[in-house]
Amino acid sequence: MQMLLSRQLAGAPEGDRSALARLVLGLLLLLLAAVAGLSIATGASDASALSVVESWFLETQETALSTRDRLIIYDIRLPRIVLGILVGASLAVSGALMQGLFRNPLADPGIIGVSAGAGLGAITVIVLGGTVLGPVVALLGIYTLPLAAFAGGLITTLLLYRVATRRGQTSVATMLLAGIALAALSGALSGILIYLADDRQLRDLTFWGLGSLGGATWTKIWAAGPIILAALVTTPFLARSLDALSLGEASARHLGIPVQRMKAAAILSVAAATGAAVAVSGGIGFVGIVVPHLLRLIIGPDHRYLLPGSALLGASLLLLADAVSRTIVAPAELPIGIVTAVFGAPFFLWVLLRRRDMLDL
Amino acid sequence: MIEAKNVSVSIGRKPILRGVNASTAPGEITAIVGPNGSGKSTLIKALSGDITYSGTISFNGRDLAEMRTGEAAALRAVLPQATTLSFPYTVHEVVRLGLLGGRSGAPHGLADLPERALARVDLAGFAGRLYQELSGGEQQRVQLARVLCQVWAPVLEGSPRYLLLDEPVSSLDIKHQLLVMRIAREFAQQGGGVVAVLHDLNLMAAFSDRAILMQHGQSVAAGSPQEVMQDELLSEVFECRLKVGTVPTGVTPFLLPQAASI
Ligand SMILES: Nc1ncnc2c1ncn2[C@@H]1O[C@H](COP(=O)(O)OP(=O)(O)O)[C@@H](O)[C@H]1O
Ligand SMILES: [Mg+2]
Repeated sequence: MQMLLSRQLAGAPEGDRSALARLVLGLLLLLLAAVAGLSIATGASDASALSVVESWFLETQETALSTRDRLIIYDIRLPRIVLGILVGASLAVSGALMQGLFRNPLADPGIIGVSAGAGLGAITVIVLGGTVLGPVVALLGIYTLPLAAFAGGLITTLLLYRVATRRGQTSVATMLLAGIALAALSGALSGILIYLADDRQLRDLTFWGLGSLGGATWTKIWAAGPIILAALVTTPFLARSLDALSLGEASARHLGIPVQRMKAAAILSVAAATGAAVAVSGGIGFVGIVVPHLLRLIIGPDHRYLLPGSALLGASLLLLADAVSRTIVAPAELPIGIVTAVFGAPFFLWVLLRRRDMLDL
Repeated sequence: MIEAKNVSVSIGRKPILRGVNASTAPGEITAIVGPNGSGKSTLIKALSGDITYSGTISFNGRDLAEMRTGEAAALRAVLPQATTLSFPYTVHEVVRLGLLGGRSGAPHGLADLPERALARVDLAGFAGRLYQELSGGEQQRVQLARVLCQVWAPVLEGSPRYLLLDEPVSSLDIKHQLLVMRIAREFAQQGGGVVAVLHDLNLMAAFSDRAILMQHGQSVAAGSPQEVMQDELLSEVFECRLKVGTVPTGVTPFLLPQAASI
């Protein structure tokens, strides 16, 4: 840690990690570009991204082969990459936001039950969309699923906040235990709904529940993308307030932060980003805890850099995890949620081990 | 001028403050003294707008209840009794938070204000350290530097500004106790106002212009340090026999613990 701190860039005042953070953001942008480029160039088929790019610039004859390549690139690989970026960014940013809001580095939508709540919302629509909720689906169209997940995530977050926070202080123990209870409740209600599902719905649910980018389509991107982007766009406005909030609610207010409004905005953003991500990709865990934690080790907790950095690193790591999930058992495909859990769960345990003294358990 | 009139606070059904009247003028340090649990922190919290109260509190004639968060932040800064951070910020990053409201009023610009504030609390060279790895007394001084950044100019655009300090010296060694009290006095001399909860009656006597003595949520005495430093009054409020002395050269009263008996 000290070593990282002393690696500041010349010129900045001592203790000011802004310059380092900006450099890291630049590198993360390059990383994302590299990973995205790699993802678009590789896949189950031998379609060549290069030839597609060539065809943008050269007036080459359309051949049957290049048409096929173009289809594979545009309709299979590209949506998967765009969705991966959107989902990875929203999971990581949700984690960072929630940790700032709860003033706790262990808060994560996946761990404290918000994703489970969002999942319940999504399952409700998948199972009851054809019958009881038919009119709602007719009204909201492709947005029904992400909005239902958003509602589920929002209700869970609000409940958690009410239970775990008293007079501006969040108890870690209460937060984790309440999260377990809420996740169990969401799981049980989801179980009841799954019991009611027919065979086709069951297939949808299984596929969705494991967490995968496999079903990426442009339709899904149009459904979830605007919600995720709206949530991501509000986060820079919360950054300074979250820094102030780390001093405690009262001190943040003394500094002139309208704490209540800011918390409401943060809760809405978390629920929207988590809900939309869960709706299109199912339960992909641990991104929200691993990414902000890694970044804090390098650039510190300043939210002006932590939030955009989380978006970039979250997107890159999810694309990498997706690459692993596509290649490790090729030609079959591992659900990406398994990959993130295999790497993320031990990481979470490591964080717990290092911060045991922080827990009031 | 800060004026608190008939301020009462209850938490649940328990009355914590009962009809407290207090005021502090620009140019003055007002000390709040009293035994543990007498309501000193609660009074600071009411003045800071942290808890709901009945009665009225006004800053420079403006009702606190009608002020927006940002407006209050431009008029006063608050130092809590202790502050723990949830994430590993550096000292510089913590002090810099004092600039958030943008109303520091520093004549030389904001760029080096955190460094100057740190130097003022005798923490030059600490900017790169992690806040969580400092001692309690050092942390308290970092927070004071942050608070000073928020209202660097004691008077801004003709309005006096205020420091509300809850036990600013309780975890400090004698050198830094004096340093902090001198910072408060300088702030007052330049036209600002200071309200400070103090446990050390000698510091109160040496540095404050007015003192408010609290007991059971009420202000039982208010006036100059000499008026509050009375044998019987103190003995009654602190529930032990105390004998006030006077330094030979002047009027400043003092208390020796060895002259007290339970
Ligand atoms: N949140 C609270 N709930 C219940 N009682 C409280 C609360 N905060 C303070 N009190 C009580 O109010 C009284 C005054 O507290 P405080 O103002 O903190 O005292 P002090 O003068 O030591 O700063 C104490 O008896 C304390 O127990
Ligand atoms: Mg107190």
